[in-house]
Amino acid sequence: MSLVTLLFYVFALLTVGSALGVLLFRNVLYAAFTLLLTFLGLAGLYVLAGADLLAVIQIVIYVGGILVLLVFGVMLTQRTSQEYPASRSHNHLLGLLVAGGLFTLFLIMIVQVNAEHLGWIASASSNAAGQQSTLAGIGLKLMTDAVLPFEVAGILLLIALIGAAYIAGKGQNR
Amino acid sequence: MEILLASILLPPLLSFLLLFLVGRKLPRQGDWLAIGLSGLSFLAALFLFVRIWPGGEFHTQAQWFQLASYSFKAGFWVDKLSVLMGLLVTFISLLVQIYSTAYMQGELRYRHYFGYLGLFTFAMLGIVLADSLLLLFIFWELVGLSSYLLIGFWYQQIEAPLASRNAFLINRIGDTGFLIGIMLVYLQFGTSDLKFLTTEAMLPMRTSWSLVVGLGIFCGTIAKSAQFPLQIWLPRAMAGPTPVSALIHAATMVAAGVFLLVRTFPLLDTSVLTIIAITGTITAFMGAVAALFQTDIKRLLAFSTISQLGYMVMAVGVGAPGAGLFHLLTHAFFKAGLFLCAGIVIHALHEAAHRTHVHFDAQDMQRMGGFRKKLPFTFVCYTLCGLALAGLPFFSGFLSKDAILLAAFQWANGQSSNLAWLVPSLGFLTAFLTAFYIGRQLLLVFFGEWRREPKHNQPVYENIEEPPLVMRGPVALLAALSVFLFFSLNPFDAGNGWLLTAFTNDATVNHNGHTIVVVLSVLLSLSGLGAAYWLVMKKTFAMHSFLGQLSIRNWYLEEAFQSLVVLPAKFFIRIAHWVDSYIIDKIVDFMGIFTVVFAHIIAWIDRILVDGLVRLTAYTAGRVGMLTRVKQGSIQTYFVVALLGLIGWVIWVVS
Amino acid sequence: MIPLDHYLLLSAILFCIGVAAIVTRRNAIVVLMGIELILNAANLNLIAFSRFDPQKLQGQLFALFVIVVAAAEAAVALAILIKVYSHFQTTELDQINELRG
Repeated sequence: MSLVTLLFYVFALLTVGSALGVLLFRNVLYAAFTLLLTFLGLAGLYVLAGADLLAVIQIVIYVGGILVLLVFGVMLTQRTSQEYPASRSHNHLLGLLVAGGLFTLFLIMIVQVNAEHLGWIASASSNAAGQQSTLAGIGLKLMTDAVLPFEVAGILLLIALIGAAYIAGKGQNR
Repeated sequence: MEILLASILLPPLLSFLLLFLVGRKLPRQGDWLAIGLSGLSFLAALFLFVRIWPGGEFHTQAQWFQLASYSFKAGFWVDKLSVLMGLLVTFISLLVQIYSTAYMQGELRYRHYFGYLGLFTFAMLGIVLADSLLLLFIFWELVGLSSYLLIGFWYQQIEAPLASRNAFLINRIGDTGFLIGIMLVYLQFGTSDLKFLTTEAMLPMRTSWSLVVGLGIFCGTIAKSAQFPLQIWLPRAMAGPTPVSALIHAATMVAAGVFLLVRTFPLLDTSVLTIIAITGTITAFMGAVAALFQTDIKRLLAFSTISQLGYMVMAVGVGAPGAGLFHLLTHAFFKAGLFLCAGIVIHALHEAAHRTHVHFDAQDMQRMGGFRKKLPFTFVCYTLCGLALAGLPFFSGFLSKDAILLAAFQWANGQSSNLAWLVPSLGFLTAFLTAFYIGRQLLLVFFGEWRREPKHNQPVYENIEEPPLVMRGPVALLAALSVFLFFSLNPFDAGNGWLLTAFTNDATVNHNGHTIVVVLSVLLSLSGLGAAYWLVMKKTFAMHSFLGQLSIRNWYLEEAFQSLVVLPAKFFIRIAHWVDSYIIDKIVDFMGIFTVVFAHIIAWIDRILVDGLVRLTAYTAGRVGMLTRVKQGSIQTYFVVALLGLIGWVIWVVS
Repeated sequence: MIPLDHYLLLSAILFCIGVAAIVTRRNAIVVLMGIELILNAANLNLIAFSRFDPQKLQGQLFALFVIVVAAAEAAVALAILIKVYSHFQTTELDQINELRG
């Protein structure tokens, strides 16, 4: 078992465990913090999959942006009477049913498709060499092939910013 | 050169647009603008004339539009003919506009009048300068439109709009033929370029086609130049203002037909030319007869125009387009002069009537007489122009008429059939009649005594005054141009004059029988004048004789039209109406009923089947929805149901 | 090299945890977290497949845009949540049942 494989299992365990924490903790803040661990684990997995830039972005945006946003959300929507922001769960049976059913489906699919032996993946993995940084490649792509989606994404973010500010703004509507 | 061309063609159009758009705000409603622009156009035409006339021509062309592989070119072709006509049109137009400032003074739609004149001039110049039949046809139609506007200018009256509509419709008849002719030309040669057609085309046309082409083009001339049998619109067009009549009759509209014939002369083959010659002769004779006993001062001149146009067409028909063009030119000057003089008479009578508060028909020659004492200047001008029309020696009309008659004479000489002699002999007879009617008019209007009922005799007569200078100036100019000196130094023969030599191709002009023609035409003119004097001295208007009725009613052409064209047309319309209302409408009704019945069936199907299906679906959905009532309104429940549905669907699809 | 199937399996597990979070948790913010988990599971898949496409980087690019959209979605969703809270005085989804027919 090489170091890389070991690292993969460590990160995988971290991710799955903390995700379960999100699912199971009654305290919403705990859920948020375990989500942080999930994101970190995912970032590690990205690195192992050769996507170093994506790993960095994952940490910066998810941890630095979205998670902070979520924590603020938790703070702004809690009654002060409670000692901690608790939230019980419900629908246990239904949740188990749905999640279990989906997982069974995925499992069957993964086994049946056997992606490792698909033609293009098999041929690509034989000459897979690239362990260099993907930063330059993605930058080039963003400015050439994907420049339109890039611009659209920028506009989307602007609209989201304005929209969020407008919706959350004071006293505009009821 | 292009700039010169543009400065001929565009000022009239500009005057039309400017007067219509901003004319109201200009001082004097902008008539000075119209006259100035016309003057500019005239000067440009004069300059172009000086450049082109000694020899050479100018042709500019551009791609107009393209249909598949057919490309249409349009442009302007300036040669001797164009510059001459352009000069004539701009000159007469300028004079008429100057004259109109006084004649139309105080008119309600003063600026519109000048605008229409601009449009008219523009259209006519377009005809003259266009280099392809298609472009020419467009301007041709524009002439029709603007003449419609001008004839119907006093649209508040009863007669004017009817007359303008009449003119417009009759011109449509000719235009249809003209258009067919153009299409055939295009079919035959693959182009409608005039320069190519008249100078380079080797005429590889089948005889029958060339006949139809020629007749088609001639159709346009028949309507536009008021030839038999479509001449009835011209006398009615007198309902328009008198300066407009002068313009229509002298330089623009009716001249367009003759110009077209001269322009397309190489396209006309002998049989067409014969038809043209016969038509022209008939028209000349009928017009002259109709003019004999007219009592309306303007109507008489109108019939005279028809007759003279017949001469021109006859000249083309006997193979002397140069002579026809010559007559067109001389006629333009003296006929414009006559009309403007008549306008002065009418205007003066109107003014006098206005001052003495008496109302009567100012155009009735039976109520005139003795004006030479009151309007001496007009009298002199009128006499000059009238004698030119009568064809006395030393006047321009003599020269051109002589050239035409000579050509007709020689043509008849060359024909095998004796019937061909009818053409020159009717021409000579018409010369006699011409002298008669113009002499009669001259005597009736200017000589003798004032023939008015005694009770308001004197005040009106005393109040008649010469008009202002702006009206007299153009008339004087036109009268001066009716003298032979401007066209040929030899008062008896224009064969060596500058104009005819320019348009006669073979240098060896046959002068056989020239002396006979000259002597005969002089004698006939003088005897015509004598007959007029004799008749007027008898103090009878001879209106009730057979000939008088025939003349006044214009050969009953109006009635003939009514019974031969209008009534059958009405009958046909009635039949068409019957077919329309009893057959086509019934079919339409049946279709409607059928549709309604069908719609009812569809509606039933819709209600029972389609709506039922929708209701069933809604009902089912409602029943299913009731199953989820357990946790109603919770998003998460919906989400679960959706996911379960997805799982179920995937299982169903995969297995 | 870690086998592709491992990544796929991990992604499936994350996805199902996200779904379970959405279905079972009552707090709207935790539901949002579940959505983020689902998006991350999808991203993991994209990146795992992108390994076999090192030159073109299509999968990574797509994942990048997914992150962008997720960020926008989180911002707007939280704004709505704050508004919902000020209206209903709660963020428990089982108490917010305006959709009841």
